[in-house]
Amino acid sequence: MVMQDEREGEVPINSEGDIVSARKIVRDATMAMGFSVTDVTRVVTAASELARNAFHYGGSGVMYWRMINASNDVGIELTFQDNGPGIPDIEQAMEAGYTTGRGLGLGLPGAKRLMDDMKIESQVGQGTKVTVMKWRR
Amino acid sequence: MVQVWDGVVAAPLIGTLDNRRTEQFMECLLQRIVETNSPVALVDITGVPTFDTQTAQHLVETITAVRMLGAQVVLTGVRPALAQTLVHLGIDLSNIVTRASLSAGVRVAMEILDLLRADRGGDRADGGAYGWTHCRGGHAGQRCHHGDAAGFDLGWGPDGVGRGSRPADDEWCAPRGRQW
Repeated sequence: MVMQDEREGEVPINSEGDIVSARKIVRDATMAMGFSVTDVTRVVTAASELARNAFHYGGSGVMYWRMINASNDVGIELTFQDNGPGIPDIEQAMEAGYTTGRGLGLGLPGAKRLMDDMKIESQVGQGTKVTVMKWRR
Repeated sequence: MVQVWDGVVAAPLIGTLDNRRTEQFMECLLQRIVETNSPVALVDITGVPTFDTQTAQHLVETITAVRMLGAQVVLTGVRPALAQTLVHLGIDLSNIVTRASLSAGVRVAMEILDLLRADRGGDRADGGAYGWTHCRGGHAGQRCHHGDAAGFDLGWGPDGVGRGSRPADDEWCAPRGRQW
């Protein structure tokens, strides 16, 4: 449960169960911030995709979330950090249908479309950091 | 998993769908479909809080398996927010029948059953996927003259030879013991 005064937090992602916890925290946070039902679903779904990537491809990782205030706007920023193998070709990873695993290859491009902004930093052999954000409408 | 009608099983999905739960669900659903000889399965996702690409993949696999048994799936409980999210994710469910509510899904199931019943009046001598137990001549309550062509379900061959005795001419072709 996210308290009203909670503005940020972090969730370790080391198991399937942690993906569920990450989703729950993002859901509670966006609902507390007053996102619409559709936008809550969008952000939670994107979080689910990215948390799963961190777990499946990175082995384990962490999700940081924080509320952003900019003049009259309120938004949420989510950062997923893992210490996995990294992404050699980010452009390719963003192509719909491309996957090195057994998934659909829609997670990363899908998460980008669900959010307002997405940034990927990755170093081969070091890990990947994906940052996404969405404004409340 | 419940049989809501003769030929329709409903399977509500509740909670998160991981690999293990999907496997259990698929196993259970396929088993129920065979046990009840159902041509239609309603899979209701109202109780699934988050639907992402992995969930979609699991569900599509389940639906493919159901189709291999000769049954059809109607996916129900697709909420507006979910529909928008799935479109953004780029998940293509266009070849899957989906409905917003379970009740709308039940209506689709009834239509499918009606179509199958109408089929019974046609020339399908293959017995369909569900082993009709009476003449499929589509003339319930009337005298049956189909003993040679369609009546093989009663125990004799399509050519009037073989597996049992042909019914007497005055035997009625009633919809008894219809099974899907």
